[in-house]
Amino acid sequence: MSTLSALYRFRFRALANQATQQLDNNKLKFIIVSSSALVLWVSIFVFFHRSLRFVGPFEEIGDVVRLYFLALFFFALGVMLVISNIIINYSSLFHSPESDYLISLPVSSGRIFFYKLTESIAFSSWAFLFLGSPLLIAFGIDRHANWLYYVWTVLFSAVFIILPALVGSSFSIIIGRFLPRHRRAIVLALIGIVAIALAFVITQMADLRGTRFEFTAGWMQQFMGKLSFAQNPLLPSFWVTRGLFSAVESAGAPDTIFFFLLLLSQVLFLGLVAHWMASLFYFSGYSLVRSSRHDKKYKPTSLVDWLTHLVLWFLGRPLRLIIIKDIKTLMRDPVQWTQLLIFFGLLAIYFINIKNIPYINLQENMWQYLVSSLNLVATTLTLATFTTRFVYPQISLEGKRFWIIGMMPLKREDIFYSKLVFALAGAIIITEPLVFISSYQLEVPSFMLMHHLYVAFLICLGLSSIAVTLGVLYPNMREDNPSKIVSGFGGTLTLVMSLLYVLSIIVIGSLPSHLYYVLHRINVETFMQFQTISIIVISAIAIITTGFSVWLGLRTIRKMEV
Amino acid sequence: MIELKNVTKLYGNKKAVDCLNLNVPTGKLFAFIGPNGAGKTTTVKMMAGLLHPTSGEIFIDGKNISNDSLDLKRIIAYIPDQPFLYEKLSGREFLNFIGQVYRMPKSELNAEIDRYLELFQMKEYIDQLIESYSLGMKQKIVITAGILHKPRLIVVDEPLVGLDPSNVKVVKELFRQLVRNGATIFMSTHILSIAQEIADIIGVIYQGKLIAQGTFEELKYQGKNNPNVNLEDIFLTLCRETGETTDARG
Repeated sequence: MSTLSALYRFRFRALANQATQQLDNNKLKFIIVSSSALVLWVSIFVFFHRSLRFVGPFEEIGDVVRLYFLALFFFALGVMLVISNIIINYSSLFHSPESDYLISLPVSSGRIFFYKLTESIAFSSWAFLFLGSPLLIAFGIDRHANWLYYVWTVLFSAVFIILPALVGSSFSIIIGRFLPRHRRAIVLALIGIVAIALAFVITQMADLRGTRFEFTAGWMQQFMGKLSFAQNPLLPSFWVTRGLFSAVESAGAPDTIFFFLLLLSQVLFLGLVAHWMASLFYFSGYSLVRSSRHDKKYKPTSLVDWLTHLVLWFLGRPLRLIIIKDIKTLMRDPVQWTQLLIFFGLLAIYFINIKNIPYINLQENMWQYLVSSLNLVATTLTLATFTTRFVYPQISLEGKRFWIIGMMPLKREDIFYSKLVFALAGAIIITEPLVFISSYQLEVPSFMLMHHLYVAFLICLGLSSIAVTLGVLYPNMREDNPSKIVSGFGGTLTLVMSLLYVLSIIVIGSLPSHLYYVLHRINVETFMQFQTISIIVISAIAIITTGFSVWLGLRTIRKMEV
Repeated sequence: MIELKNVTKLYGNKKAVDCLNLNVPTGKLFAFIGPNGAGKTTTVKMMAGLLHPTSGEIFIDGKNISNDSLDLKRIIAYIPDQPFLYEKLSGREFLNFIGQVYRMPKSELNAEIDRYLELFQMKEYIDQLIESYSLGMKQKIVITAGILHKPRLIVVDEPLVGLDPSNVKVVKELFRQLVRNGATIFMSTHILSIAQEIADIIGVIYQGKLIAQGTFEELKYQGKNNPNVNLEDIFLTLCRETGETTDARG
């Protein structure tokens, strides 16, 4: 039996043991996670299906829109997967305890590389399963494709997800071998590349400012022309799009076979290159990465200490000290906060440039309301994913070190409050300025601006308390990696509860405006009455959610055994 | 068995190991002692092929570890101070995995596993998941995994962490037994009494440099020939003479 097959065999054994353990210990957990995943998948499918059906009646432009949509989707997914694969592979090849162990065994660098590559492909396929498969199935149904189209879909998808994994892992090997001491600079460079790409798209869109928005073939051609970079024939995402477009028309089309073989040949070629690079550079890169130590000295007190003591003066000193520790821990781990920066940074760039987007008529209250509300939804849903990602693991991350704060001369409740204040302050600092920028740029009326800011505050409050409480209820003290902590039951439940909370606040909070501005079903007096009622209801939901969460969290942390 | 020639290792600008020259003959137990941050773990990792020397060469069994690392890893066992274990495998599954990576025949693998289960009294929990083990139980699994394939060289960093006194005794006897059977052991440790008790040769590293090497008797001679002196006294004297002693009792 080869070494590689032994590695795979025992990895599957470990996964099987974990699955059995999960099923034996908590069937409810399994049911909630599976049903949440299913609901998410179905929601994404319905969204894509309706979007594709919407363009169906426009015969002149329908195919163009579908082609651009698919090409853009695969392009964006490919870029996202390359970036995530660089990060996953770099930490998995150079910083994971498993790699340390495998390198000490008689396993060749090429085999370790492929073993780790399989892991990152598995992560990528999750993203593809949840985003790619609903789109491709919706596309097939929309175009009444026969069963062979679905076979081609599986083949194209399986080969396509390997490509970004190979590119990402090759980049990570190059970074480890040739830039072992520039981790922070590389992360910043990645952010820069994403920002430049987005700036490019926005600049392209800005050219359309003078045109009047009409849903016609001419206007759409002009609009889509600005996104033609995704149609570059050298891009693998384009090959997938063209291959599947042909497959949906005729399953045995020469174009389908040609583009599939083209994709496959590139994957095989890149696989050879990646193996060659791993054989040459992995072990030496590993040694270089592990030999690079940052000797930077930190002052015992910094601006963070000073600001926290100043802003949170009303809290007890021990609480402030725990918050300072959490802020410093987050700030000194760029892999963590850069994700935050990328997503909220992209939203900020979009909001600042929103006036340049041609289809918004800022003179109409309906558009102002619709776009500003959608921006509020985008911001708060992103916040929900980030409170899950960063706040939920806070208690777990204390892990083996929980005794440090556990033994401090302060109440357990104070530990809970410190995490809550940290989360709430972070959420408000990020969300409120974004909501303000969006509303200001859209020139919404003052009462609408105040309403959005208030709704955002309620969402910050509820999301922080949900994430901290579920972090206390479902801690994973054995794990040091926040991504792995979040991927468990507690993390999934936090995400589901957070999304439900955001949606309930947004739907109830927006209902009067929707009835008044979009559907024109109510007059201004009724609108004001409904608005007052909706504010009372969402305030009550926020108070009940926060109050119950805090009560439950405090009760649990008092009894917590570590 | 082990030969280090002018080995230097830099971490950024910091010299962790400074022009280290060392020879360990086959069939000896070499104890490597030194204060915190002296360069013990870095030396061990370089010998295991995990880190490459910035300059100098390391030969194991006459072969350069940088050039023949894969072949050499088949005859080396590395037992780290902070061991990695697959938490979702049982102890037996993990040992089977290691045996298969080293391509041990199944019958031999099973026999060896049974032998160590008996020796370390692990039968009771060997089929439970590793995540449920205590630190000492994990350490016993790690040591077993390291020596299962009968390596000719065992490079071990702090082997007795978390073990209770009876298991410390078992490990000490096991190491002496392995050496009697021809294996070479390079052991980095803070526990000076263990080094004094079981090592054939003791090396003292301080600020990346080897400041003394020899049998306990030879080192005692360097310690002003006082018949009542122990390794701790010798160690502290040597470090004091070389520079400021730091945290020697670890």
